[in-house]
Amino acid sequence: MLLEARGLHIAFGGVIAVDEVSFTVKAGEILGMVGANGSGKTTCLNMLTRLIAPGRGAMMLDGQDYTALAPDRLVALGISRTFQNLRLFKDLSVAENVALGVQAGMQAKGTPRRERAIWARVHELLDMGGIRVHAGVLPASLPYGTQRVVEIARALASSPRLVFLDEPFAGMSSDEARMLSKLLLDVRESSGMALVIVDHNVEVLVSVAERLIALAEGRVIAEGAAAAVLSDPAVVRSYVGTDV
Amino acid sequence: MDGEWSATLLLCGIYSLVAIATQLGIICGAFSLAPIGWMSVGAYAAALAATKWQVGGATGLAIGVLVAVVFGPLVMLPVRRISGLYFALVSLAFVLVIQSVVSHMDYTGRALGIFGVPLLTNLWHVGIALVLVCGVAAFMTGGWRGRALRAAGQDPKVAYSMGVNVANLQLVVGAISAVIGVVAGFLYAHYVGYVDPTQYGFAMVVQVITMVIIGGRGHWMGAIIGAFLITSLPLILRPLAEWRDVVNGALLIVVAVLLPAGIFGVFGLFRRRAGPVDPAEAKAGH
Repeated sequence: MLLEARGLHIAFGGVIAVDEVSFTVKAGEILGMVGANGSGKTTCLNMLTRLIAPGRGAMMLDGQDYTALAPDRLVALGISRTFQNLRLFKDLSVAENVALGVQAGMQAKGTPRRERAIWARVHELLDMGGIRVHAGVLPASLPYGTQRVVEIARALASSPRLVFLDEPFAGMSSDEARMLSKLLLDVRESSGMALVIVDHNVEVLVSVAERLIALAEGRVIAEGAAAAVLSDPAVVRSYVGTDV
Repeated sequence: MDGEWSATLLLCGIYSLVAIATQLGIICGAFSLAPIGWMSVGAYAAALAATKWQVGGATGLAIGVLVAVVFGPLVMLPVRRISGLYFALVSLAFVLVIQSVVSHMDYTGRALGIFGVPLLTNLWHVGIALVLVCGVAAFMTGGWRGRALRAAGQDPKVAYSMGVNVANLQLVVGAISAVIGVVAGFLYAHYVGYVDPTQYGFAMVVQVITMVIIGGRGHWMGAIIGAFLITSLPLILRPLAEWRDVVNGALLIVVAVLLPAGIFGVFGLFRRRAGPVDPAEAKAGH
């Protein structure tokens, strides 16, 4: 098992945001995480990437407990992520944003961070995402969907084993979402990395994820094949507010 | 060179040092005014070495640098809990505490300061120091280090998730900028021949901030441009006699309003941000 989350729990000022969440991700698997707003998906991701410390529970990658590891050490483990609200470095160009991911990966592997090697890899990634033409511009000047692709390219740049993508399809047109889902499947195919994708666009999510996990009020309410999870009465109730 | 101009050039160099030290902090997300405090430490180290400890100037400088290396990171520590203007205020307190301490101690000559510091600093000393500091600044802000530094300054949380140890980076910058401040103060004391507490107070803080903002935040070259402009402007505008200060102030307002990224920001627009072009590709006409 690549990732194992065991009994993750956190409360903010008495409000329980995530409650005893446990799940696993296999190497090379794409896991979709669904749930209504406020169900705890992003908080889960923030704990799993150590941006916040879990109140209780444990997180293991390849059997190694990283619950107490500093967030900057996760790249070395092979974990990277994107953010729900785009968080590209606004004063760094598209290429420089991606270069940060590349150099983090090199640091993790102990490879010397030579500029020539960094930029060669950056240009490869920009070509892969079809954004080479934007290499020298600042991210804010690009359309939202393109900025999303830049952020994903940055997350993939460190050659991770596991990537958490927080609402990667949000704000994208259906064409852009389709292209991105193809890109993610291609990347998984070529690199074998596992992806955990949180998104509200269930239609696109189902087209890429092999398995879904549904959260409501901070708890896992269903887990398994997409069709089974989406037809689960508890999941329907959490989205619609009543049985259908 | 005319004596007045060479004196101005020398001061431009010294102010460039302290402006670069401040700029490095700003780039990595720690808006610290501490370099002015460190300048004071360097100046008093020079004065005490020459008048009380009876040791050579090099020993005085070495002591100041040692203190900066040890305590520079400590002064940077609060940035782990507070940031932005709040951290700037804490660092200002450091400057004012040093000023207050030296102005109340007999050993440092109280408000009168210490006279009799040998006049040793010349343009060569300042030039060499500036070249070395520019080298350090270029090393710190270039390549992968520079990207990590700027990432830490823009969004520390995301920088952490990109493998950047923001806290350690800021401590390193704290030590480097403290050492640069000490060197600047040392050179200044050996140039003017005395130290007193008023030299390194709030007025100097305002002056250095103005240099950094006018020159251009985010790049060490901006700090140099600002330092040279602000330091030499009064001399350049001297023919305007009593209108000099008015024109000086008006020019600063114009630059601040029309060039919010500072003078260097104009050049920044032409910076290559896409990475080096592969010569083979360029030849193929890509």
